[in-house]
Amino acid sequence: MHATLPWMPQDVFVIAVVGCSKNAGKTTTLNALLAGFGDDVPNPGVLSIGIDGEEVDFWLGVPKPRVEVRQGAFVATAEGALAAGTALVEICERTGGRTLLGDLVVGRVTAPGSVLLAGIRSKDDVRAAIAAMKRLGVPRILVDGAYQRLAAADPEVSDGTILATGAVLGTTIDQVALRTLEFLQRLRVPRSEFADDGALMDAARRDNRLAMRALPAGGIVTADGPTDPVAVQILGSGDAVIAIPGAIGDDLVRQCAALSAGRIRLLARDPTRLFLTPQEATAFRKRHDLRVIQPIRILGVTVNPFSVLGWTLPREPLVAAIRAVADGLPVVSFDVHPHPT
Amino acid sequence: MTTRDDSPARAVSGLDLHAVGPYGDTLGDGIVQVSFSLPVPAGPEAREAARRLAVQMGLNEPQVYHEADLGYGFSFWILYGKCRHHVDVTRIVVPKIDTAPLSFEEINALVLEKAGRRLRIVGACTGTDAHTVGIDAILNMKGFAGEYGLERYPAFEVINLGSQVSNATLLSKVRETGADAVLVSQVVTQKDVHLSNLAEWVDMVEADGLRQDLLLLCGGPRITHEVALELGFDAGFGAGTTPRQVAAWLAQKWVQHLR
Ligand code: B12
Repeated sequence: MHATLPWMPQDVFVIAVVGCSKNAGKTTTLNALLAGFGDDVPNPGVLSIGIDGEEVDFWLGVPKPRVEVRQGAFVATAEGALAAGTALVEICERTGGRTLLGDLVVGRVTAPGSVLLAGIRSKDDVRAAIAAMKRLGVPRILVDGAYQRLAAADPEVSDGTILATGAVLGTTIDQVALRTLEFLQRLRVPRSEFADDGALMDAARRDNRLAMRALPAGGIVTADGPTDPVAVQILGSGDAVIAIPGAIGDDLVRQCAALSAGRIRLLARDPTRLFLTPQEATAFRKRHDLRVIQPIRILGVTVNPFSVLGWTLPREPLVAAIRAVADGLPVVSFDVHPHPT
Repeated sequence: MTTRDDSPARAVSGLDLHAVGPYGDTLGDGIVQVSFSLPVPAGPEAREAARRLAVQMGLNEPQVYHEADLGYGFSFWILYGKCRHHVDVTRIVVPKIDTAPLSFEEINALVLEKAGRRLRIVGACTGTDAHTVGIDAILNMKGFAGEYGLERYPAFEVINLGSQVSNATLLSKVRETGADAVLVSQVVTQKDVHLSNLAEWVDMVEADGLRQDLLLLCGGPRITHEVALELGFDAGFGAGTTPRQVAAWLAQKWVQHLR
């Protein structure tokens, strides 16, 4: 049972915290989650893609909440960053990563306080840190994503994602709700319910190329891209399903749509591979279908009514507006002062 | 990024590094100068307004040293004051570019001998940004600040995509060319769009599975190495960067990367 998030499922081992924007309240969310773990999770682990726990936002120059860890918790950070926090940390493992602030390490907190999480930049760094924490028997791991980076939400990295949103996204409740909705739509692309689609994606990943099939009954073909002659031929002859193993941007969906004589079911591995502007995604969906093989499990949305840029929105109406766009997801707002004392 | 020895160990004697403030003419006096325009005509009320603003900026005993009416209802002010604030320098950790400064010849030798081939570099000014002077200064043959640009180095093969390149287009180009390093420039910004754009670029590279094969650099007047690292890049280069600093970093990091 989790004190602040009673709906936190028991089967999520790695939880990603991603923000709709920088300063949307990820660190506040992280601290609330860390503080809320009960006796069943005495030693949660925490790490950040990017930098977290610095005293001031290096860009805006305003104070930020620090990352507070209890005794027994585990952190993954650069060795040189340990001196910047007040917590005492005993190094347990070096993950093999090197940074400007020294080796990446996983350590156990021996005296509580603040920590600076720094040095982890890529998904591979995250995987190495998670593997080390698992070896050390850490029961729950929180991964904080920098800015609005989505890498931590990749279902191959984390089992569930919490989205942080807040007043920093707009000066009115409607603006914040709209931008949160756009972000949620980006994360909530539905799973393909066709059994064959998984095999098609496997073929695409194996060759690291686009894989496709004419519908209803064509065989699997791989191609360099939608303008590859084999792809043009299939797209021009009717309905098709296309699996893309990597990143999907506006130009790719535009090309596919332009070449298609029928309807396309476009498959992404998971929502973190999609980089479509809301306009392009909407235009594509008018005629075609966009699906993922592995959806992101969104655990909830946290709402920060304070903007570091200087304004505050009324908490209750803001939470209500986010609830209205969150389509049944749990929505919470932590009652903390915006700035550390 | 500077190669001068500017470590605090060299600091002025008698200084308390835990409480460092501005220096005017005696240690600890906190004197600073600020200048700004006000959208009101010069005069006694505007002068008092300028003083009060300076107090709110954290300055004690602000004094107006210069005032000028700019016409059209504007005035210009220069004030001196004593800054109330201090910083604890001992608690500051700033990630810096840590590669050694190498010469043109050393850079070429390092890459060609250790890597055994030229490094393929793709550069672009991305998003809506059309300020190409910065990335051109680093990449173009003729270079910048008396140093050759990367195109001049036998060790580098440079593909400069120019301005307003979308992240998706950049990614296709990177795949198509089999680049080893990508140099992204961001000069103009509104509502921090340069940061979102850079964050999206790194996420896209990760999503495409290319992150471990590429060195990712960004640069521009609003970029610091620290911002770049936080965004997931391998390095960031700010205002005044010279091509050789970038070349030396690329050569050394690539050789490390090969190991
Ligand atoms: C020239 C210029 C233009 C030219 C650009 C021509 C061109 N082909 O580049 C033109 C006229 C097109 C232009 C247009 C605009 N501009 Co203009 N422009 C400038 C100006 C005067 C100089 C920039 C420059 O060339 N600097 C010289 C280079 C060498 O320095 P640098 O870019 O910092 O690059 C160095 C480092 O940063 C670094 N670096 C840079 N990139 C990279 C990348 C890598 C990988 C690495 C390693 C290093 C690196 O290395 C370089 C060498 O040391 C600046 C003001 C100024 N004095 O800086 C405004 C300025 C950048 N522009 C500005 C603005 C607002 C605009 C416009 C929006 C104006 C308008 N309203 O239309 C448009 C935007 C156009 C667009 N879509 O981007 C503002 C930006 C403010 C902000 N908030 O960001 C500035 C600061 C002017 C101001 N004070 O208001 N601009």
